[in-house]
Amino acid sequence: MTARDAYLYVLRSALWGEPLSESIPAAQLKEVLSIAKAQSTLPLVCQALLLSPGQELSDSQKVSMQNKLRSTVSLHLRSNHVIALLTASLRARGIDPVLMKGQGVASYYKTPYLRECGDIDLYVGKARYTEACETVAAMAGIEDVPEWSERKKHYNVDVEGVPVELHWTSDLLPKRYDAAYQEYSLDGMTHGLVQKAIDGEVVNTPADSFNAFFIFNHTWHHFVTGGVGLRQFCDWVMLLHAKAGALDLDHIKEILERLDLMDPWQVFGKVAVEHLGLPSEEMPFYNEKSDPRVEQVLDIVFREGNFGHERQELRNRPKNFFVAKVRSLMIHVWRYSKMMSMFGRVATCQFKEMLTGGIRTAAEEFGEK
Amino acid sequence: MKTIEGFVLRPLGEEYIVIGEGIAQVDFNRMISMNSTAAYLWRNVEGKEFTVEDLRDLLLEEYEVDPETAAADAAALARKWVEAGIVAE
Repeated sequence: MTARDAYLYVLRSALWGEPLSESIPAAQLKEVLSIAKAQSTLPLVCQALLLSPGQELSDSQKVSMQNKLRSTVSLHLRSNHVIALLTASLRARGIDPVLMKGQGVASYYKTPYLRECGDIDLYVGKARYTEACETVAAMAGIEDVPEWSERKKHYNVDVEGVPVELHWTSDLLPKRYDAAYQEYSLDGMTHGLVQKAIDGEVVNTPADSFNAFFIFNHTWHHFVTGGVGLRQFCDWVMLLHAKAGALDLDHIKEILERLDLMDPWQVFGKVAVEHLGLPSEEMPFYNEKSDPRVEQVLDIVFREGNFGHERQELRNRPKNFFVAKVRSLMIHVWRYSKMMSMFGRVATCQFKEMLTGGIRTAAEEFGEK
Repeated sequence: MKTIEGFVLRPLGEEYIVIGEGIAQVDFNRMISMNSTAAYLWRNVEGKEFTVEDLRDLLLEEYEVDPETAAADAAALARKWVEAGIVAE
């Protein structure tokens, strides 16, 4: 068993709550933990190792893992507290936010408080977006809120030490698909919302069927544009498992076909089933045929880490503005060429979007200099 | 006394924690750590009315301990749970 296989074995144990029947060799343990960290799944892996008898853990490893678990729970509690505060403050202004991803999806895990915490993403819609930003900015002690721009999907601010992103839209897709996506998003973020109790507050999360697509699309978007960790795949797997039999598959199919995303959905679906243990009958539109892209996707995910943080080629950025931009462009072109060879048109659209966005940003940055 | 609805016992590695989950009435942003003895007691009284004497008897059933020590430990633990806000008197 390679360290990667051992990591996946431990991760599956954590996701499905089944103790490990085999011991992870001590020589592999360090690498397993290192992979878990890069994939933003370290707390889950620590829990599975500590709960499974017969693991070759040193005392210092046990203490370090236990500390990681405690700090993760503390972060969850702090995050939940801020979500409740934000929700109450926005509601007091008549704005009803929707919690996307993060703590909302964590509730579908067997151990919700061990999903590695990220930031808080709140959708507030377009109509009262500026007012919502002002409300949240005031909570952070900030007076000036930047002007709304359709190109920027969220406003970032820290509230009580927790990063918060306030969204006017759940996402922005390449031009070719965006109008259709916005229709589905508006519907999924305003109708059939699912309510969760978080730290004394009833909090909205997206409608289930849209959420199943949205969490996939978020994973796909990060995968194709710069790198994604297995935590995002785990989120999708846990959501699909929790909502098995309750999703509107016709609706999801319509979205996937209209946005040309059925192919990546099916490839990611095989990662979910073959490597993360989701029962195939719980994976909508599961394609049983073998596909070499499944291993290619996994290779990329392991090499790049969550949000591409492990990408070696992005390190040591040149100081010269133009050299840095050209180098960055070449890295992106090389990476997108791989994506386009794997996923065709839908990845090509992302590439065009990256090019136009990159040129615009570079021009703006140059203008500021 | 009674454990407050919404607080659940969860394993956390080699320890246990009691954490507020799942119902809107619970407004709680701390975790209460428990060792295996406290976790055993919590599991046995969760959702039920209980007394300090019930806790003492549970200790005597499970552990080799004299009644005075069990009574003192049970009283101390019950006090701690009430102070932490996870048990109502």
